[in-house]
Amino acid sequence: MLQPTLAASVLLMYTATPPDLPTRVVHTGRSCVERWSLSKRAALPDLMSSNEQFAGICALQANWDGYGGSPIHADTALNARAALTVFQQSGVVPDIVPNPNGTISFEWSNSRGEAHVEIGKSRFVGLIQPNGTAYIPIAGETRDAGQYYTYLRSIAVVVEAVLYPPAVPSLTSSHLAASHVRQAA
Amino acid sequence: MCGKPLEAHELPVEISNDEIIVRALLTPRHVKNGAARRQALKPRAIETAVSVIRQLMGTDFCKKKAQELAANIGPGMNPPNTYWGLLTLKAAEIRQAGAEVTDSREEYLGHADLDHCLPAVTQDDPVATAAQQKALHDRIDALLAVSKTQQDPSPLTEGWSAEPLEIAHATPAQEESPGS
Repeated sequence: MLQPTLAASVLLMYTATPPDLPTRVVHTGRSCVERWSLSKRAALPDLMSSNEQFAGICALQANWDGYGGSPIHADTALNARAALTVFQQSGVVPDIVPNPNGTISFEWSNSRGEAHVEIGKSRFVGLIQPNGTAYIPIAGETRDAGQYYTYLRSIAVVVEAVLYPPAVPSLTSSHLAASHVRQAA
Repeated sequence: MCGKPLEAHELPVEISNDEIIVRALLTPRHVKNGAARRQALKPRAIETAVSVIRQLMGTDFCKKKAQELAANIGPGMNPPNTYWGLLTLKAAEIRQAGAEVTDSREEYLGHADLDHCLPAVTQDDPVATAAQQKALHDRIDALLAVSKTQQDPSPLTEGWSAEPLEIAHATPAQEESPGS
């Protein structure tokens, strides 16, 4: 089960990631570290889009899906808003989906695996599933705000490590970075 | 095109393994990039089943019911939920996945329940345990893997004009071919 103290184990998971999977590196001519920090940040349109998406979901009324779907309870909306903020700040902007049972799911998916967290009035549940390895279950309560934020930050860290790991620096990039430092000096 | 819907006495209560079962899909909540989301087959709180339609009633009938579902959704939704298309499953594949499908004509003739046969979440705090959620997602993933999702090219008109919903059965020649 994902615990607040999980941060220490994230590195192990990252180093276990198969090296042949695609990365999010964009070749901008900057150093690897700079490139990663740029690519990791969520783009402004993504943030605006997810905020609009979230507002629309929170405004859903009973039978929003034609099958008698429940509206989103105020406590669920509050808990989910906190989660979305943490995920946005961490650069892992999720897909946001309402569930017929009145909860909100945050979902991530790419060629490395998938992750989702379903948030309700007082609890959350989900999993992180790297491709080809065992899944990591997620579950907890939202009552203790401090603990809840710790959980959310841990989830964001693991989602990032599993689905959006930073690029491994290459020899070419190291050479370019060193040249840049000499010129500056 | 798809014929007149059956009368009550013409529609058997028992659903045979060969029957095609239909679930109406609405966008944007049920569909992403042309594929059905898990949410399309998730039950409501305190429910273990989702509503489906028996294709024996005719594809036009299924589409009409799907349009009615969308029409009953309240206004003021941003973005609005609209009828998108139909998801089809064979009854045999539903049962092979561990779920069940049974006639529920008390709702309307042609209505059926696709029961996941898994524990329901409560209304008060509708979040499953991690194990329950994993079981439900695995069940839905298994169903989606054998389903066929079809977008309706003319969602506002009457009648189904896209490809037939019938899932192809192996022809006798294919069944007899060596190595099949």
